[in-house]
Amino acid sequence: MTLGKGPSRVLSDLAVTALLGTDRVTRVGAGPATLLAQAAVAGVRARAGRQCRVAVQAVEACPVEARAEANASQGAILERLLDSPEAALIDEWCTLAQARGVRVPAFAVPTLLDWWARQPVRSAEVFAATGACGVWLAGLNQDWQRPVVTTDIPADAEAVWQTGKAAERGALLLSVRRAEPARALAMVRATWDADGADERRRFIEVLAHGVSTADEAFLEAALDDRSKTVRREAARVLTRLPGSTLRARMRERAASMIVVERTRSGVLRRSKVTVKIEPPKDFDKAWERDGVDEQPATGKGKRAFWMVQMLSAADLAVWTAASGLAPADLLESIAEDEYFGDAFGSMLASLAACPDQPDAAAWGDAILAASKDGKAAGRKFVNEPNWASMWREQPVDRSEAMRLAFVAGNQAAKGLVAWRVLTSDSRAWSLAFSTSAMQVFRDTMPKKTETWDFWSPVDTVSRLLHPGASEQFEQLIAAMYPDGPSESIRKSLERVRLRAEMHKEFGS
Amino acid sequence: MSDWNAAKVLALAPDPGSASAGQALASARKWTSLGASDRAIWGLCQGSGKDPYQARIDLREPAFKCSCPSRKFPCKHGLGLLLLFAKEPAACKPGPEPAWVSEWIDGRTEKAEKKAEKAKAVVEAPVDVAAQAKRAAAREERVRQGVAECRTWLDDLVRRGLAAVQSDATTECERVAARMVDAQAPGLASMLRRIPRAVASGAGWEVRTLELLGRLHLLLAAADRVNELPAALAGDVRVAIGYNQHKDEALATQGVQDLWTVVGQSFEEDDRLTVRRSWLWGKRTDRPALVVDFSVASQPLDPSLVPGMCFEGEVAFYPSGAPLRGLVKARGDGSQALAAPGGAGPHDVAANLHRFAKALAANPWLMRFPLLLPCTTLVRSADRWLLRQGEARLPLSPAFERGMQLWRLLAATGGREGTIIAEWDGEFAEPVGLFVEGDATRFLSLVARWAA
Repeated sequence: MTLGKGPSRVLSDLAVTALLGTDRVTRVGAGPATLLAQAAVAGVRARAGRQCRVAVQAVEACPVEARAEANASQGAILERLLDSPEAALIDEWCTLAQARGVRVPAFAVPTLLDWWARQPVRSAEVFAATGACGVWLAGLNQDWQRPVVTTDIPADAEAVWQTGKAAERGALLLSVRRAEPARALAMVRATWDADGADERRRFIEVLAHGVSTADEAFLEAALDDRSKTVRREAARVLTRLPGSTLRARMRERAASMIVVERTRSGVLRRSKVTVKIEPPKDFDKAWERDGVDEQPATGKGKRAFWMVQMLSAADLAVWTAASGLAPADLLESIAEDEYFGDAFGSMLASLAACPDQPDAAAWGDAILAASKDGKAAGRKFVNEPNWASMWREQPVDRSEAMRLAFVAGNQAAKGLVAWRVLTSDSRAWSLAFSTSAMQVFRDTMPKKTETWDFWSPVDTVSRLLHPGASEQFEQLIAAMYPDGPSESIRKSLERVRLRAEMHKEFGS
Repeated sequence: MSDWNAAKVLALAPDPGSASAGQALASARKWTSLGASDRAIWGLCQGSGKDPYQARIDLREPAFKCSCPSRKFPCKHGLGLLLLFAKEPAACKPGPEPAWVSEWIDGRTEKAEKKAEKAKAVVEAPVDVAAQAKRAAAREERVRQGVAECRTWLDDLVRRGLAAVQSDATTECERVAARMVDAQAPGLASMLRRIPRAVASGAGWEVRTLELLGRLHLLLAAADRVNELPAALAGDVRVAIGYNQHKDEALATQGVQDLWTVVGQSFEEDDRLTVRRSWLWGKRTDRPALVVDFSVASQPLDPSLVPGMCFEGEVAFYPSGAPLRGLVKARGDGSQALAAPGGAGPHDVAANLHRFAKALAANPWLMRFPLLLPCTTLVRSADRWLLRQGEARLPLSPAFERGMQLWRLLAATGGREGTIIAEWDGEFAEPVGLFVEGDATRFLSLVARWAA
């Protein structure tokens, strides 16, 4: 019945009739049953012999890589991480793998890339860990061809800069800035007038990386930008540039607020220096250009608000220069001043904004000592939020030493306060610091009823802790929660265990 | 000697949560009294309860038992213990089995023996033959009416024309499918439920739809004459209509003794029912077998078939014109070294499709057929992906292409040749497993079970 015609063809012909309905197509013996029976035969025959003839392109094979895949247990940990991805842990895995000279197992690369491509910040470390396989797969899947911050600058960087999309340009600028700061500045200048306010602000943000005097003229000009957010960002970056003229202007203003009186008293008529803090009486419009706000956000006094902004942007040397006193003596002499609290906060802020300023270490120690001993001790300065920002800007080892010194023997830094202090810097902990911190935690362990508050610091510890101190962490949690930890605490515990296991698998 | 690895163990996990929890327990310091014998491993794990949980695993199958209250199966303790064993076999020191292990294992052995005895002598002594016959007759009658009703609808559909139902194919087919479920013909129902997808498949939809309608028509016609058909074909017709085959039907046959490899699994979720298809391939006979397992409401599936596993055993097939579905009747050592499947026979695409055509000639309602494709790579055509072996190519199913499995397959091959096992439905291939030859044969299971 179908001689000469292939079954697919027969089926197509029958489908025309079926589409219209046998009622409408009059044909001898073309009732529905007949049609369906013919379709059944043609259908089975077509299905049995279907062949695909489309033209195909071969896919070039992935280049062979000398670097070995991570072993099965290392791979299993990565797969677990990808089950409920946490960026920090995945980064950690990839960093460890890179350090050991192994790559992500091929079967895990797609899941990892898929996750990675959806991240707002795509770490180059993660992509690098996928090795040749990652590059090869990303070349085959459009969704994975996303900008990545790498150390390689494309040959056509300037062309990409002129025509690229916002995210692409941002990533490119950061790469260039890290390798060749001057070239990055030139790129920003090249399109500055055509870029939108939001982009201009983001580019200045990138220039904060490795900012130097070479950038100053440009940033000074940006203080007169037509957009306020751009002006503010420029002021912020200049505040962080040691020796900038903005800082010099701020220092001059700060100096006018420090009033020094010298009196001679006593039998020996020894010279005595008293330092008083006097905030400005009126707002000077010229300050605004350097990023000083006129209106305080909360019910704070206006004068103190202006003063704090300027003191925070000036070198601490302004205090010593005005009074001739060493940092510790200066702090002692202003300890009872009406504005001591504001001044103390701005000193921390100054160290945070410009950690490389002259005498930074001496000032840091003096401030730390003053918060524990002397007249200022016992006051509420332990809660000053600027502590955390200051620590974060110090080199890691210095930050760790300062935080430990802060909690050691500080009566006001007990319990939760000590925990917060030790967890206030989000950089990974050294083994020595981890061990000491665990000891402090054991000593300042909360009473059973308060443990709820400790969820957040415990969570932070679990992310930062050196894996070598995992045992102590387990013991601490067991001691804190004798009836078994709650669900959230158990999560932290799992994270610490997972990290410990990960480091063990990589033999680090 | 342990042939377990993490991936194989994790394939047993009932859900991602259990997999994760199991991994957290795969460390020797979570356990006390770890031990191993030639047939089992065991250990004690302190949980939130007062007494530590007793986890034990019969390695021959594997089978799990644990004293914890979890309803998950296997529970995280079982998974953790097996993962640990896979990672560090030395953690479980060889020693005598404690009573709580040996009693359980002995009990299992005894049960297995009884089962085997029962299988040997399929003594037909139903409790009430008359009542059973009556129930069977009642169902036959309902199915007969259902078939008649379905035919009326089908003829009417073709009379009115497919164009007329294009817009409401889903409601229309679902209505009739529900009637078929009532008529105890679930096979017809699922055939009907496949129609709307063909209707919505874009250009050429009427051809694809007509093909399905023709197949349905063929089944309805066969259903009328089922008693006149040869036994094997009649069996296939009844399966297509939705009659369940009883295990005894397979067990009564002479099984096929071979070195079987589990070459892949695929899952299908339908409401609360999970269907798992495990594809097996016999080394010496060079033939495939399909073991289907069902689970309702995420109950545990039989954990004894793990992709990538090799065992010497006997597979019994259900009677069919093209015997494919079967069950493991007896199994020996479950820890044979992995080897790429496939015997001496030709395995090019043409040979594979020839086998499919032969199977289809015997059972035209066959849904899926396994392809074993050595020396196969992935290639592209515009935005589509295909399998290529020599000059032949096979399109991949759109669902497979959309998912992460395509990329996992691609990554594992690195664009080079591998042995791919795929389900073939006559139009598209859906890979379920990959063997890569290297220093040692490696296997990748492409189970898209938890994928979105």
